[in-house]
Parts: sequence; C-alpha cells; structure tokens
Amino acid sequence: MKSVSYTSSILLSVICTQLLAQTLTIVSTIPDFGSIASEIGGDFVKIKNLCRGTEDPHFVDPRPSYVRLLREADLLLEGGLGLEEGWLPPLVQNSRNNAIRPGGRGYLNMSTGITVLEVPGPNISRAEGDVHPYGNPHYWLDPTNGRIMAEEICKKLCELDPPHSAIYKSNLAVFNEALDRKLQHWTQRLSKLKGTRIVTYHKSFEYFAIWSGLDIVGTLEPKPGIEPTPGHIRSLIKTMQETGTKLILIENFRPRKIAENIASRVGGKVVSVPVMVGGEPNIHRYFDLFDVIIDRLVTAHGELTKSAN
Amino acid sequence: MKIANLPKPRKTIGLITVIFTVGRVFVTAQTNAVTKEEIERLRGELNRLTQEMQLTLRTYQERINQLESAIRTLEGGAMSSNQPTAQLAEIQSTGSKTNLAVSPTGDTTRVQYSWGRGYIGLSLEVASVFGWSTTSEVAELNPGAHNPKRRGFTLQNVEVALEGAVDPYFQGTGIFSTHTDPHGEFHFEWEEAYAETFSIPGGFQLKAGKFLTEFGRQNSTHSHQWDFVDVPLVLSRLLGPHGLNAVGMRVSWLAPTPFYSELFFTVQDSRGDGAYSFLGESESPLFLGRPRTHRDLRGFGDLLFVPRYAVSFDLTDSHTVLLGASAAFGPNNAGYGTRTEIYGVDLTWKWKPRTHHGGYPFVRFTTEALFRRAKVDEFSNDLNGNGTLDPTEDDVFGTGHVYNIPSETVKDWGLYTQVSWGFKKGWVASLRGEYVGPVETARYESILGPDPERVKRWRISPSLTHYLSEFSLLRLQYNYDDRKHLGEDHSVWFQLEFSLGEHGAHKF
Repeated sequence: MKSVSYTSSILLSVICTQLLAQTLTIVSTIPDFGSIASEIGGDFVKIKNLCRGTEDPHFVDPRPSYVRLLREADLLLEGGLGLEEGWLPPLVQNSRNNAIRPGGRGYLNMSTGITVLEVPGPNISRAEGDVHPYGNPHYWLDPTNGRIMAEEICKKLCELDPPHSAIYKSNLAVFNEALDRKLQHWTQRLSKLKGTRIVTYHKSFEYFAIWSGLDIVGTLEPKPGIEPTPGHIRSLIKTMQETGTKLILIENFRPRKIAENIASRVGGKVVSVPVMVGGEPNIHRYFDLFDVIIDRLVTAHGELTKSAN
Repeated sequence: MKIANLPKPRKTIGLITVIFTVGRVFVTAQTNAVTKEEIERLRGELNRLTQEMQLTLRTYQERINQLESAIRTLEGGAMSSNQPTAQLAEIQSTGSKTNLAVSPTGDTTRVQYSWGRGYIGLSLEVASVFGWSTTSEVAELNPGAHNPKRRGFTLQNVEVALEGAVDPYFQGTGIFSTHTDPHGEFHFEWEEAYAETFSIPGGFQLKAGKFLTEFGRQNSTHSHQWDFVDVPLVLSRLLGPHGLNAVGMRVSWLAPTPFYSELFFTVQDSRGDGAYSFLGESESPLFLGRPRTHRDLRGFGDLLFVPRYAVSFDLTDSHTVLLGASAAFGPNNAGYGTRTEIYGVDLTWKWKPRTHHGGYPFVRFTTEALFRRAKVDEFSNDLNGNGTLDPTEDDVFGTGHVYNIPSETVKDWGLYTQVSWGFKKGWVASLRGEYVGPVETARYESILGPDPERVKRWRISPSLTHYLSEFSLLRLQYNYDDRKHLGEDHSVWFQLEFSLGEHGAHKF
C-alpha cells in the first residue's frame, strides 16, 4: 500500500512538473497583441501571429495552415470590433477548438476595457461605406491603450496559468513602467506637433491622433473601404489648402501615388508609417512602433516648417 | 504592482517614511556628521520610496479610472434601458460581452463588439446577369443551375443565408436559394440546411443535414464565391447542374500533422437533383442513353460515399498551395445493379504579397480534373422482342423506333484551369480554360447518335470583375464555346452581384 502511494506521489509530481514546464500557446491576430503578450508571458508563452505587420488587418488571407495553429491554441487574442470579421470566424469554426470561441476560456477580445471611438448611432447604413458597427477598431495605435491591453492579457494569463501569475504580474509592472517612461519621452517629442492638421488614407489613425494631439481633417477614402475618387480628392485638396494641412499620414501598405500627388499639390509631405509590430524589419516591440511613427512625423514636420521659413 | 495589493495603512506608513527620510537627509546634511555610505544608503532608500509612492499614486489613479468607467457603465446601462432594442440585442448575444463605448459626439452607447453575436446572422446575396449568346439554347450551352439560362436577363440566384450557434454543441446554417430553370421558371429550395459540431474530441467534426458535398474545390461553394458568371463545365456535366448536394452526414478529421491536412468522409442520399450521376433526376429522362429507372435503396451500399483528403502548405510567406483528392461512389439508375464512380483531383495556388492594400494584389490559380466511370445496363424498348414499337411499348427515345442497347461502362473526363489576378484594389482579371469529353465513344451513341451531354467541348472564358465595395460587384465575361457536332458559340455576360446583411467571411 505504501509503495503504491509512493509511486503515485512520484507520478503526480512528474505530471505536475510536466504541467508546470508546459507553455501556453497564444495565437494573436495582429502582431501587436502578440508582442505585448510575449512581454507579459515571457518564457511561459509561445506566440503565433496570423496577420503580418505589413498586411491590411481587415483582409488577411485565411490560409488553411491557420486552422492548425488555432487548433493548438490555448488562447486567442482578437482585436474585435469587426477588425477580423472578414477572415477569422470560419478559421475558428474549423479549428474545432471550443476554448477559443467568443466567450470561451481561451478567448480574449482585446478591445475589452478600451474606450471605443466612432461608435455609429442607430441609423448606421452601408451607404456610408463599410462602417464598423461597433466603432473604430484601430485602438492599439493609442499607446495609452497599451496599458489596458497588457493588463487584460495579464489577467487572462493568470486565469489560464495560475502557478505563474506572480511572474506575469511582475512582467506587467515592468511593461507598464517602460511604457510610462516611453510615454513621457513621446509626449515630449510630440509637443511641437500639437494641433498639427493631417489627412490619412483610411480611418486608422483616429486613436493615435487623439492621443498625440494631431487634428485629422479628412481621409483619402471618401467613405471607409471605398477607394479615392477624383471628385473627393479635389475637395480634399481644397480642404487641405483652406486649413493649411500639409501632412498626409498613411499606413505603409497603402499605395503612395495618390497621396504623393496630393502632397505635391498642397506643398506637403507624405509620411508612410508602419501601423503594427513587424510593419518594418526593425520593429520588434510595441514600443518600437511608436518610436518609428513619432520619429517620422517629427522629421516631416520639422522639414516642412524649415522649408516654410 | 505588488505595492498596489498592500493594505492601506502600509501605504500611509510609506508616505510618512518618505517625509521622515527627506527630513532626516536634510538635517544630517546640515550637521555634516554622516559618512558617505550612509548618504548612499539613504539615497537608495529615497529612490525606493519615491518609486513606491509613484506606484501608489498610479494605483489610486487606476482606481479612480475604474470608478469613473463604472459610473459611465451605470449611466450607459440607464440609457440602454430606455432603448428596448439595444437591450434585446444585448440579451440575444451569445457568449459575447458588452462594452462601453463613447462616440465622437460624446454620447454613451452600449454596443456589442464580438462576431459571435445574436441568435441568427442573416444575409442576402443576389446575382443577376444580362447578356447575349449566338445560340438561342443558352440553357443547353450552360447546364449549371445558377448559370445564365436565356438571352437577355436571368436572375441567377437569390440566396438567403441564416447562420448562428444552435446551442453549445452546434453551429446551424440554412441557405435558401432560387434558380431559374431552362423554361424561365423560378424555383425555390433549401440549397443547404445543416448543423455542424463546434468541438468534439480528437479533431473530429460532424455535419448533418442537406449540404453541398465536399468534393473537389468548387462544389461546396456558392455562386457568389466564384470568379466567373458560370460554373465549370466539368462540374455541371459530371456532378450535375446542381452540383453534388444531398441529405446526409459528413465526418471530417483534422490530422495532427504540422501542416494542414484534413480527411473528409461523407455519406449522403444518392437520390434527388443533387445526385445527377447517381440515383438522381435530370431535365432529360435519360441518363447515358438509358431511361432513369425508379428504384428504392436496397441496402447500405446504395448510399452515396464521398471521401476527400486535402492538404495545404505555406511554401513561403506569400505562397500557399492547397491540394485535394476526392472520390464519389454510389449506384446509378441507368440499370438495376449499376454503379458510378467519380474521381477528382484539385490544386489551388495563391500568391499574396507580404504587403497588401485591401487584399490586393493577389494571384490565384485553381485547377480541377474529374473522371467518371459509370456502369450502365443493357436496355431495350422492344419489350416483346418483335422488332417494332408496339402501342404498349414506351417510345422513350421519341423516334418511333426500337433500340437494343447492350450493357457497357461509359467513361468521361474533363478539367478546368483558371487564374485570377487582382491587379488593383477592387479589380480582378480572370481567365479560364476548360475541356470536357468522353474517353471513348459509347456503344449507345453509335446506335442513338451522339449524346449532347457527352460531346467533346472546349471553352475559353476571360472575365473582368470590379468590386465597387466589399458588398457589390460588376462582372463582364466572354465565353468562346466549341462543341463537337454543334459548332462554335460566342456569349457575353454582364453580371451584377450584391449582398446585404452580415459581413460574410472569405474562405481560402
């Protein structure tokens, strides 16, 4: 009897160590969530991102291999607000993984806790373009939302993997501290740009603009998801001239040509920036993304003011 | 963060210590009676306390934020209670949370943000076509149920799709669709109505109901997912104008391989208009020169069995291939113990660069080849063997003559290859080349003459599609047809497709 309990206790401890040694497999839609999750999860998580940093996150190709990744996932980080509705649902359905379905234990909607912008009223209509019925989903471009996302991820990891929760919590503190330092630095760099008027291609920079104090006066798309038309471009140029707008901020996967044409008409500048981690080869962390965006904006703004003087 | 969990009194003590320490440093600096080490130690202490205090302040800030948002939530709840519809939507949400959101105008609304929402997702897809062909018998030229059927206008498809989670076990789908028959009459049917399991152990998935069979690449898709106005000839000829579609069940297994690999096995009813090469029905009462007999199922073996295996590899970051092999086995009604076997292989290759704008540019190449072998019985309409057609004997061929057709095995094959190039956002240029034909002339054909459903034919179709938005498209297509014995035909089709409702997801 004694030997049985002895063997079983050994067995149990072996199983326990096995369980402890196991890492959580996290599948993230956009790499930004994955990057934050790896900061919080450290060595205890394995991250796979479905969308690459250079892709339009609304139009990711639903490759069959993603079904395999989702099948193995302990946790799915989804942007929500309709960001991935054009490609993710069938992949999740086919993965046969109940845990990562909305409401499941291994499902985290990253917009949880975010103050969502541009939530349309009850009279929403597609006559206004492909309006996201739940509001603008590009919230990760406000770095202060980074803290909310990191906290949600930490909460979820602690729930899925309680033995390591102390580590996750301390990693969160480190992340938050680093974010605070960075925020101070970024705000300082952006101080000269406060109130600067810009136009964008798609409604991707609303969160960034509110945080950084930029003023978006228009978009190249006449309506969300609709390609620029000559008539709209003419009226946009007029608006830019009237308001003295010189900066055109576009995601690096958008075509530059139309933006360049407009810039040359108004004597302005096109600032093409990555909008996700991995959007450019040197962007490995969430913080790197803002370093690059802010750097480009400050440089372009500096050049414009120099040439104006 | 650890500080945040400390009880309140300790934080107060911390604050007092800070003040105390600062005071002590001040005093000791004045008296000059301290060693260097002590200054260092105190400096360290001060730093630590400053950090602690910052953390404490941050925690309070967070608490304030939380309280503020809680107040907003309460306000939002109060607002939505004035709006019964908003509340209803909230109640209907399955497994999705609600979120507080502020619109730019500052008013607070309660919205749901997850795609697993509502009891039923509803959408409508409409496809209509206008065009002309050099033949007036467009329906014979284009046998698929949702193809253009006549010169002028054809309403190809009006499809209502209902989708949603049934309960924690099943996802339910119902697709009600219409098609126009060759006489211009409208038909309504539940094209698909099935339930699919969410999660059963071992990577399996079950599907039961009426559904388009997972055979090859295109058969299980709907007309709005096609790159052309019409269905490939080989599919409408060998699988039938309605494709392979019947009541039954399917089990699929996602194999634990490092790449995507899925095995499907379908068992379906071998009757109905979606089982053309089996015990199904067709426009013509004949199948391969024999009248279709009406017979019941005599055993389990009289069902339709469809295995399929599909694998996919990501060749590089931007190249993906999907390969599949399928087969369908079942009885046919051109005899009493006769059977049909259909084999198919398919290949899809897709290129989408790492950097793309709205999913463009891309190149998609698809090819499918099918082979059908059907055993068919001997048949004679000369029941009494007197060599003439008597009034009691059925003139099934409509010629007034008697025919004695021997039993035989009839083999047909065909393939299509298509390439689509999305060259600019919203613009897709496509080209399709097709061939269908008999492996050899059947013996019944040497008696009855060539069967139009078996003649050798080629078709080339260039098309240009413009997506005005994600929800509507215009398509222009030209078809060059060359049918042996029937000659060449030219057709031009101009198509409008649109969709309403739920934002449908794209499949690979």
